[in-house]
Amino acid sequence: MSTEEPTLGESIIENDIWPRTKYLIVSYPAAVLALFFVLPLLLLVVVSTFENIEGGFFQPAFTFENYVRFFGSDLFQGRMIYTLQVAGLTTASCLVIGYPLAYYIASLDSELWRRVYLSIIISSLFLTFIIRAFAWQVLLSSDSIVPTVASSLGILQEPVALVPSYMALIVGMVYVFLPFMVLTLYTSIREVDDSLQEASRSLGAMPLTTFRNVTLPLTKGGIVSGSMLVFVLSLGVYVLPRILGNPPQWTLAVLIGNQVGVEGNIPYGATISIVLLLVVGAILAVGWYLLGGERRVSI
Amino acid sequence: MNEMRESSEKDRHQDSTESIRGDTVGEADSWRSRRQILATTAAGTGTALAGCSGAGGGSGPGSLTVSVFGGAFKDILDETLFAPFEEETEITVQSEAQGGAADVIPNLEGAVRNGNAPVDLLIMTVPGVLRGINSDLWHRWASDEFENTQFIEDDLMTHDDGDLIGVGSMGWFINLVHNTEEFGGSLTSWNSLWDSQYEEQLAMMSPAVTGFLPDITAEVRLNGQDLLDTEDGIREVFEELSGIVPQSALWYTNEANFQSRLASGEIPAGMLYHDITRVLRVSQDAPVQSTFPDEGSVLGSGRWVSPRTTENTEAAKQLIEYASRPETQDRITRELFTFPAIEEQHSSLNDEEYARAAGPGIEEAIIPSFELYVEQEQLVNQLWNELIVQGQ
Repeated sequence: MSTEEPTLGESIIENDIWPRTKYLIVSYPAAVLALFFVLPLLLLVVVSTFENIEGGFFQPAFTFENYVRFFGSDLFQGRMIYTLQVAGLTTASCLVIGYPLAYYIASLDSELWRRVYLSIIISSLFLTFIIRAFAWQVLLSSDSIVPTVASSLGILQEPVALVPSYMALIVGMVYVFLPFMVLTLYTSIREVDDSLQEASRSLGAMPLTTFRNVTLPLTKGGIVSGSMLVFVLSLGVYVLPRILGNPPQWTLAVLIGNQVGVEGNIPYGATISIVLLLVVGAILAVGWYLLGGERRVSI
Repeated sequence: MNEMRESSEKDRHQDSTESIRGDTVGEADSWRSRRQILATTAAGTGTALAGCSGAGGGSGPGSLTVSVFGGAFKDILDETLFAPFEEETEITVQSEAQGGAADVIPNLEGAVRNGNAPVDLLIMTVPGVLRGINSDLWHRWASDEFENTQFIEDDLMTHDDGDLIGVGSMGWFINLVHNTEEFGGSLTSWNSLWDSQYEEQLAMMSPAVTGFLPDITAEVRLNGQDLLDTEDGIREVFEELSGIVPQSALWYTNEANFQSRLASGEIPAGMLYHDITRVLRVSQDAPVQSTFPDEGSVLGSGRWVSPRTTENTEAAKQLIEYASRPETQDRITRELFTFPAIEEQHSSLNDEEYARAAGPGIEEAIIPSFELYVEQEQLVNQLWNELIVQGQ
């Protein structure tokens, strides 16, 4: 029989404290997830099955009438497709504009200049969407700089208001979401091993070939992540279409807002939200699949 | 109708933060300090959340939170109604700007159901009052609660099950308006909304319950408002209404979005409240003109209503009494150009003052089918969204 005193660790294990502590540690994030994510989502699902009282409030019920209404409505299905198109165009524009910019910043030798560029990009995020949307509303109004310059260059016959319009909406959305794309791409491009690009060049590949065959595939993760981020954020955009667009430019999020805030039809607003959430989930699943494929290629 | 435009006393929480010693704190003190910070933060968060929830709501004794349409409407009521009321009664009025009924009611429903009273008294449009009755939102007054309601037009009093719900506050007209410098000629008929020569030039009100365009369409373009009694008729009206879409340069839910563009001429014409347009012209010298259409303006009216959760009914009652006095009504009309809610024989307005506010008078006006926007709410909203979003 040993006379040695148990160590603190052994004492904890013997007293069965560790297993309990382990559950305690795990229970915190689980509780946070349940309280702030799962429960509200479940409530949303439940409310979506409630019945709206015409000219009054809603009442608890269990009906799929709201879902039937959504899938039977050209208006709401059409807005879903339109919203996906707007998000897709915004994402593509951010990628086309953002990739060269991120590549340029990542290629700078000076850390100071990289920080300066990134600080400028990040600083645009300090202002809320609303302020930036109103700023674009002013810039695109008839007597403002953009129409005036466009007129003097002969692009427009005369300075006319470019807002509200589809173009104003896309410009505003690209402006708002471009930083997210650039920052995601920048991180990905910085992680590319310089020696691989150098090897490509030393084997005689032209810069464009090196970019196409080495850099681009190695930054695929960043492209997919940035695109997913911008796309999902764009799907939920509410303020920009309200300020920079007319009703034909309204996205599904605006219609959800109107259902809740204007028409008082909270159950139907919840229903549209659930459908939009499912679409976002499907897009994320595709994104994860693409990212998984990227990892397999890397391995 | 001048669709409804749009204390909680902020809980003053005492700053219970105790000073925490800085550099010289030992480990134990440091730990205690962290706990103090956490405790203070938790208390502050709790207070903030209570404030966000509107707990308590409404105003305390001796004060009243009143919600009215914003902009010039609120500014003038501050001068012509609330300030003299405060002087006379020593009850402090905190006026707040509100949006239309469509904006106010959904939020108010949530607050009242949670037992809160964000405001003690508000001006509400008829569809908003009706919807509020269906949702059990309003305080119910005894039918003989007020003395001065004897002066108010009977049509402007809203009752339900023998209780008095709303007392007429004022009436207003929706007219055709234009910028006199930027718009050639003037709009004199609602038919102009269908005229392709004004393509993408006109501002129009949204949603349907605010601008009452279905009523205008039924009355001016089809066989009258009776069409709106049936679903087929409503669909026929909206089919005809689709003809105005190409002329729309702006669908606005808040008149402030149109006012500045009208004054600058960026959007040179459209539909807007007569009172607001007159105020723009008189007080801001804006080159704008309000025209009573040949077929009649759209006449709307407001009611004073209180959320049933307010505890400040006595002060609210005093303000309603004050607002219902003939001299108060006339004063508001002279400054705001709204239509007085009192019967004509009690008014001291001369013909000129009357004409400035009411043009050819309420007899010529189109009275909206208010019940339509409550009883057929979902259908009307669906068709309206299809109209303005899809242009159908």
